[in-house]
Amino acid sequence: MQRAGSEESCIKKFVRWLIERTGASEFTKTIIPRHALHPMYSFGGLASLMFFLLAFTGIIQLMFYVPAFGEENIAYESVRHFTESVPYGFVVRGIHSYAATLMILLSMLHFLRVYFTGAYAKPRELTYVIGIVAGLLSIASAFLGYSLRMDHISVEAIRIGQFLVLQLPGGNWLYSLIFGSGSFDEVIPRFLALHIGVAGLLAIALLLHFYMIHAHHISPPYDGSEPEPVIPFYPNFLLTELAAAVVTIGTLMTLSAVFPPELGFKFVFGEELPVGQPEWYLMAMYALIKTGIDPVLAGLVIPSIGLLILVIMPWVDPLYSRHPMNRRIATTYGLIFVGEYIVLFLYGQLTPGEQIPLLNALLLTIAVALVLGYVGVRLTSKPIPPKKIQKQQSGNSPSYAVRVILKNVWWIACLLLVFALVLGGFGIMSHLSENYYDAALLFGISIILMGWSLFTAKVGLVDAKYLV
Amino acid sequence: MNIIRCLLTNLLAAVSLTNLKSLGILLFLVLVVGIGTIIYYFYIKSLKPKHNNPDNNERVNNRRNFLVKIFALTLAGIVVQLLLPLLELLRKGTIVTGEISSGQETPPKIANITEIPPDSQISFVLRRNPDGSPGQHPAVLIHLPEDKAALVGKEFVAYSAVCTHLGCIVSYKSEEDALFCPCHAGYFDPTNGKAISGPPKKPLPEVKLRIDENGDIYAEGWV
Repeated sequence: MQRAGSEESCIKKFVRWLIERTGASEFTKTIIPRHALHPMYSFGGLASLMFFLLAFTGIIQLMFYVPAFGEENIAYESVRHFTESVPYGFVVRGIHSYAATLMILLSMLHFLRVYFTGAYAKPRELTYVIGIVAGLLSIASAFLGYSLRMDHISVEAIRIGQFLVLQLPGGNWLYSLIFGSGSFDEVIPRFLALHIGVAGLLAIALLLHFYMIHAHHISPPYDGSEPEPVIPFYPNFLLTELAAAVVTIGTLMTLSAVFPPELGFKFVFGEELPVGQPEWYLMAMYALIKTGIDPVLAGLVIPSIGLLILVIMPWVDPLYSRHPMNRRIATTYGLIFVGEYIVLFLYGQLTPGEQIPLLNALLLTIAVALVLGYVGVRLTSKPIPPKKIQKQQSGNSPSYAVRVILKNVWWIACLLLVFALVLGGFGIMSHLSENYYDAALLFGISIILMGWSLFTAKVGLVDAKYLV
Repeated sequence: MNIIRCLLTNLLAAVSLTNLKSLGILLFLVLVVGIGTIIYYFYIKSLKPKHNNPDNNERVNNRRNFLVKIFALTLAGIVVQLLLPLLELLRKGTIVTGEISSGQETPPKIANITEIPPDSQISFVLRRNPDGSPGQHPAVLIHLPEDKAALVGKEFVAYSAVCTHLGCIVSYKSEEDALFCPCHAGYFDPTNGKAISGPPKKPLPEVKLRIDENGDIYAEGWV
C-alpha cells in the first residue's frame, strides 16, 4: 500500500536511486536536438546495437562450434549441425550473420552521413578517425568470422588471405605468425581466436568513440542553423531506442526463420568445388585483384591510399562551412570514392569466376572518376550561406492527426499487443510441438509488433506533453 | 476446444506454405520498416520543445495506469519470447565430434598406377609446403595422355594444386589438355607446370614422384 502523500512508487524511487548512484544523472539532463532525431542519425546507434547482438549470439555459438579440421572437416559439420539440428540454432546463426552484414552496411551509411555533413569538423576529428578504425576492425572481424564456416567460400577466402600475406615484404615471417604452418587444423583455431580478439579491439574502439561523442556532444546541424533541443534523452529518447532495438531483433529473427543463413558446400581435400565469391563488402577490392595487377597493390596499397585520403580529410577540409555544397574537395572526393566502390562492386559481382581485363577496368574507373568529379565540382560551384534561425511556427500542421492518435493511443497499443500475444501464443504452440521454424517466425513477428506496441505506449506515457 | 485446435493446426499448415510465405513475410518486413519510418517522421515533426501542452496531458492521464500495464505486459512478452528459444537451445543443443588427425606426416603413397587411367588426374595432400615448412598442401597427380607422355619421357607428373596467381585450387582438364584454375581462368602446361595463359605468371612447383615395383606411386617431396 502506498502511503498517502508520497506520490512516487517504489519502482520510481529505486530507478532514481540507481541513476544517482551510477553517476548517470547527467544523462537525465541531456536534451536531444531536433536534427539528431532524423532517421539519418540512427545508423550509428543501430550499428552498435548490431555489435551487441553479435556478441550475444557469438557467445552462444562458441558453445557449439568445434574449431578443428580433423579428417573430415569437423568445423563445417559442427556449423551444419548447429544450423540444422540444434533447436533455434538457425535463429542464432542467422541473427549473427545478418547482424554482421547489417553492421557493416550501417557503419558505411553512418560514415557517409558523417562525411557528407562534415560532422568530423573540429573538435571531432579523432572521433571520426576512431570510427574509421572501428569500421575496418569490423570488416576484419567479419572476414575472420565467415572463414570459420569452412565451406567452399571460406576456404577460398582463407587461401586468398594466405596468398596476400605471403606477397607482402617479410611475408614468410608474417605468414607463420598468423597462420602457423598453414594447415587448416592450425588455421581454424587461430582464426576463431583472432575473430574474437578483433571483436574485442572493436569493442574498445567503440567505447572510445562513444566517450568522445559524449565529451564533444552531437554535432550541430550542418547547414549552420542553431540546434533546437526537443525531447529529453531520459526517458523519452531512451525508450524510443528500446522500441527500435526490439523491432530490429524481431526483424532479424523473422528473416533468419524465413531465409536461414547460407552455408556453402563442404570443403574436403581432393573434391572439386564451385568458385566462391567473397562477401559484398570485399567485392570492390576483389574486382581490383581480378584485373591481374599485383595483388598487394590491388588488395592493399590502392584501398589504403583511398582510405588514407578519407582519414586526413578533416584537416584538408575548410572550416568555414560544413554544408556539403561548400566543401569542394571533400564532396568531390567522397563522390568519386563512393562511385568507384559501387562500380567495382558491381563489376566484380557480375563477372564471377572470370578475369577482368585491365584496360576495361582502367577505362571504367577513369570514366567514373571524371563524371563524378564533374558532378562534384558543379554541385559545389555556388556557395550556400548559413541558414537563418527559423522562427518557431505555431504548431498547426499535423496537429489534428496527432490529436486523434494521442486520444486513441492506449487503444492502438492495446490492439498491437493483442495481435502480438495471439501470434506469440501460436508461437508457443509450435514451440511445444518442436516445430522450431514456425515458432521462430511467429515469435519474430510477435516481437516486431510488441516493439511497436512499446513505442505507442511510450508516446502516450512520456511524450504527450511534447507533442503539438 | 477441439474446433479451435483444428483451426490452429490448419492455420499453421497454411503458414507453412513455403514460397508464397517467404515473399509475403518479406513484403511484411518491408512494410513494417517503411510505414514505421513514415510514422516516425511525422512523430518527430510534431514534437515541440517546451510546449508542455496541458490538453495532451489530460488526454492521456486518465489512461495512464492502463498504458503502464500495457508497457509492462509487452516487455514481459518480449522477454518470454526471447528466453523460451534460448533456454530450449541451451538445454537441448548437442555438439558434433569427429576424428582429429594427429598431424603427423601421412604416408606419401598416392595411388597405384592401375587406378589412374591415362588423361586423368587424382588429388592428394602433401604434408610439406614447397618452401619446406610443415603444412597441408593440396597437390594433383596427372597421368599424361600418350602423345604428351612420349614427348616428356614420363607418364606421371605431379604439381602443387595451388594456383600461383591467388591460391585457388587448379585441376587437370583433359578436354583442354591443361591445368585450369577456375577462379580467373589461368592455364598451366601439364608437362612442365609453366603458366600458359591467364593471370598467373609463375609455374606450379613440381612434386618428385617414385613408382615402386608394385606400381604404387609415392610423393617423395618437392623437386
